[in-house]
Order: sequence, then structure tokens, then C-alpha cells
Amino acid sequence: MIRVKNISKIFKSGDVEVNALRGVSFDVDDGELVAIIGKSGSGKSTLLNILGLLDKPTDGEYFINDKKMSTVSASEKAKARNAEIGFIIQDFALVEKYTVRQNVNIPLIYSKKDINSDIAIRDVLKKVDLSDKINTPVCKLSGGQKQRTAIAHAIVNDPSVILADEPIGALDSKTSEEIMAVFEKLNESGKTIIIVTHDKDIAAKCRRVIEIADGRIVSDSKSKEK
Amino acid sequence: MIVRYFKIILGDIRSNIGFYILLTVQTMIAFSIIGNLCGVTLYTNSTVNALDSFSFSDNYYGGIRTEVYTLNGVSVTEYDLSTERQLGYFIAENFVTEGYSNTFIEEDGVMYELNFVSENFFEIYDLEVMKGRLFEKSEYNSDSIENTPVILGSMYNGQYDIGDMYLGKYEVVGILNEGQQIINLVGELSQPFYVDSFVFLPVKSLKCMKENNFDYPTHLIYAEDKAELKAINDYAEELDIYPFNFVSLEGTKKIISILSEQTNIPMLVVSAIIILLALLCLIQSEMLFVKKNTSELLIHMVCGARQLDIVIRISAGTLLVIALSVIISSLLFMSAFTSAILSVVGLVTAAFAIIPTVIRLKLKPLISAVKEEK
Repeated sequence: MIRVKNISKIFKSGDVEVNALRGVSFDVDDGELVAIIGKSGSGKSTLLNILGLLDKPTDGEYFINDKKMSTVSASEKAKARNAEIGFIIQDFALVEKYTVRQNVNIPLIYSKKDINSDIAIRDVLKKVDLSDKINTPVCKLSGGQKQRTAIAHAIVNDPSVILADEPIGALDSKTSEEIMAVFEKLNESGKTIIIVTHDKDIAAKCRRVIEIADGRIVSDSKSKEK
Repeated sequence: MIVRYFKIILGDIRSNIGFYILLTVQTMIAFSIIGNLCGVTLYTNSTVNALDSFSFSDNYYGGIRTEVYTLNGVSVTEYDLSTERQLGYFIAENFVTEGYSNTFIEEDGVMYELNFVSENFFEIYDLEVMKGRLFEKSEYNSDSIENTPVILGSMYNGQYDIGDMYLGKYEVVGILNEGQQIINLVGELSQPFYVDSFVFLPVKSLKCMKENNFDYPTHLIYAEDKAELKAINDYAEELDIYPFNFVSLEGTKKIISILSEQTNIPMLVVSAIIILLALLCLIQSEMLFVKKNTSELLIHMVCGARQLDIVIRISAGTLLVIALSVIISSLLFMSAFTSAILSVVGLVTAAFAIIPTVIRLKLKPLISAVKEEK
């Protein structure tokens, strides 16, 4: 479903070139739960931004459902980000001044699907157990509630792929467990989930772990048990 | 989708409403000055074109009243019509004159305006009939007001036909073409106007005009030399009424061109400064909006907003300010030409206001801006 072929990303700052990714290749099948791990600066967030169509690779090819995303127009990418990808971005997944409802509504603003937004928002908040917070401003939520809102916001448009960048970075262990349980539940329902994390405990809960160091894949392991 | 997005844009504008109102007022002032400039340009062009299109020689002069009107040595604000009429008769006796003079007659409690026209009036202003004919030479200067033919403006077409009697006593001999204009030489007040609603009668003999207290048509006074016209002011002095300044065709054109130049340059400078200030405020507000809302805008992009959606959202306030200014200023002037000019100025201003933000987004995509912020 997702195919990454020999992707490189070079950041230039004046005369200095930084190789964030160096020839990364892997495939992710439908319904996989994948963790991409690596130290800070290893290139994992850069990879996720490319997978989420927020950034362009310097070289290489990237396919979603056999569609070559590295060559599609900006407008097509926006469409794909809306319909096919749910993105939970590290630290800034939500608009703090918006209520839970307003945040979850954002993907629906750009959706071409004929959706009753009120019903869709209520349904998705039920899934993440946040129905009672629908009109609460995000700035008044706890860390766990914010992350649940971020998940609701990522899945409201029913995307097939969910990308999460350090989704439980700042949460306590109990809340982290709860959030991971939500991801596992979503994965069981057929969603492909790719989680970028530096936390090996979180990675251990995923069936597949891709480790990146210095912009290269250093290991790609699959476990039979969850 | 459009409705949902529009709500977000409205929310952005509402959160900064005071700023946008101030900016709208500022831009509106600049646009009103431009509108006024358009009005002056329009007036200048139409007047000069009209003056050029008519066939009167430079020996015709129009009289411009000097500012102070005195009667028996006392300044007054109202004209003494009979004294003025007497001056008109003096002019008619001593000079060749052309033009029209109006009079009002009452029929069944309604006042009707009739205009006596001089012999060459239709020729000078190139007025043509759509039906019937112009007056014949023999119909001018008669001693009687009875059996007078009339020529009606195009507005009366359909209501009257050739041979009908206007007000039951004036035979309609012609109906003028629609949209024909005339102009009087009155310096900076010269302005072409339509004769579609006019009713014209041939001028009567001076004797008949005097007997019936009708004003004599003296809009254009023929003189080989302007000095000849001094006699008119001498007589005005005798009558103890205000004197005239006399202006020829060329003189009128010069006055209008000087007036236009005097108005245009300072107004252009002032409006350019105000627009520049408004433009800087708009650019600054857009940049500030991006800076304050980088994360939010990125979240919208992540969720499917296109770059264009983001640009529209950032520049919505600018577009609203400019659209409101253009609409309100256009309504003030009610002229298609002015509206067109204001729309072009508005579009150019909006483009200049938006371009820096678009360049900024191209140079530093939101994702990089957020990374930097972090």
C-alpha cells in the first residue's frame, strides 16, 4: 500500500548540506502497525513529513496505493492529505484556541465527501471517549484528552493511513497506555498506522519496527505477536 | 466546503474587526480621492470633447458672472430677474447672440418649461431630428407668440407625433434624436448636458420678447474683438448690477485644463500616499497573521488545505477591506468610469498586498516556519 523507494532528503542552509535521509526504502502493507524509531535528528520526523506529503524528497519515489505521490500536483497532495492520510503532528496537532469540536472539524472543512459534520464529529469523539468534552476549548484539556482529540481529528475523515509523530511523547505512562490502546483498536479496525517514536516501549507494542540512524534504515523487524 | 471555510475566514476577520474598520476607512478616503480625480478627468474630457465637437467659432463669448452681485450698491444674493432681463435685451440689440432662454408657462396648475432658441442654435450644436424637421428661417423672429411651432426632446417621442399640439397650442414640427448634448461657455462650470427633455420654440422678435417679458437667448455673444464686449459691462454698471467676465471657446478650454491640472497633481500625490500607507498596513497585518497563526495554518494544510486556501484565508481581510472601499466609493460617485478605475486600483492594491505573503510562503513553507518556531 505504501512504497518508499530510495528516498533522500538534503536540507541546505547556505553552503552547508545536511543529509536527513539517505536512500530509504521500505513497503508498508494495508493494516500494518509500524513504529519508526531512532534518536533525535536521525531523520524519522523528516521521513514522516514526506510520507504525510508535507515535504518533498530530494530524490527517490513514494507511492500510496500504487500512485506515485512524488510527482502529483500540490492540489492532488492536499486532496490526498485530506482523504487518505490522518496526521498527528508532534506538539502542534491541535489549535489551542479552538474547541474540541472545532479542531475535529478541520479535516471536514476541506473534505469533498458528503458528510454530516455534526454526526461525524460526535461519532469519532465517541470512539476516543471524549463525547463530554465536545465544546471544551482544547487549552482546558489534559494531555491525554488533547492526544485523544488529536486522534479524533486525524480519523474523522476515515483515512486509510494514520501517521503519528511522537504521539505520546509528553504523557505519563498510564495515559500512554490508554493512547496506545486507541491506536491498537484503530489498527484492528483495518487502519494502517505508522508511529514515529524514540520510546522503545511504545515501539514494542507495534508489530513492525523500522529503526533509522543517520538517515538510513538500520533495521526492519517484524514480530509475530502483537 | 466553501461555507465551512467562509465561516473560518469570518472568524479571523471578527477577531480583528477594529483594525479592519480603521483600514477600510483609510482605504476608502484614498479611493474617494481617486474617485474625485476620475470625476475631474471625466468632466475635463467630456467638456473638452464637447467643446471641440460643436461648431461655434472663437468669436463667440460666454459671460461668466463675477462673484459680487450688487443692486443699488448693496450686495445681494438673489438676482433681480427684470434687471438682468433688461441687460439681455441690451445685448440682443447690440450684438449677434445665440443660445436658448427659458420661460415657464402654467397650464392646469402645472408649470411647463419652454426654451426659445436662436436662429443658428441647432446648427451650432449639430442637433438633428429623428422625426419632422428643424425650424424654418421664417419661423424665427415673428412678432406673435401665437401659432408657434415646437421641437421636442427625444423624451417626448411616443407621447407626441408630428402635427400634434403641445399644451394644446404649439404645433409639434420635430422631435430630436436621443442623447444629444449642448454646452454653455461658463468657464470652469462649462459642462455638456442632454436636451432630451427640452421643449424648444423659435425665438421671437425682440419687441415680442420684451412685450411678453421673455428672456432673450444670449448664451453666446458674437464679437470681433473682446474689447467690444466692454459695452455690456458699461451698461451693467449703469443698471447697477454685477459685471461679466467674457470667455471664448479657447479660453474655456484653457480654464478647464488649468483647473484639471491644479486638482489632479496634489490629489494624485495625496491618494498615492494614503494608498501606500494602507498597503503597508495590509502587508504588515498579513505577515503578522501568518506569524501568529503558523501552527494553525499548518494544521489546516495537514488536513487538506491547499496553498491557495491558505493564501485566501490570509488575504481575506485585505480583500474585504479593498472590496468594501471600492464598493462604497463607487456608490458615492455613481459613475461606471469611476467604478472601473477604482476596481482596477483595488485589484492592483490587493495584488501588491498579497504578493509579499505568497513570496514568504514560497520561501519559507509553513512546515519550516513551525520547525523554526519550535
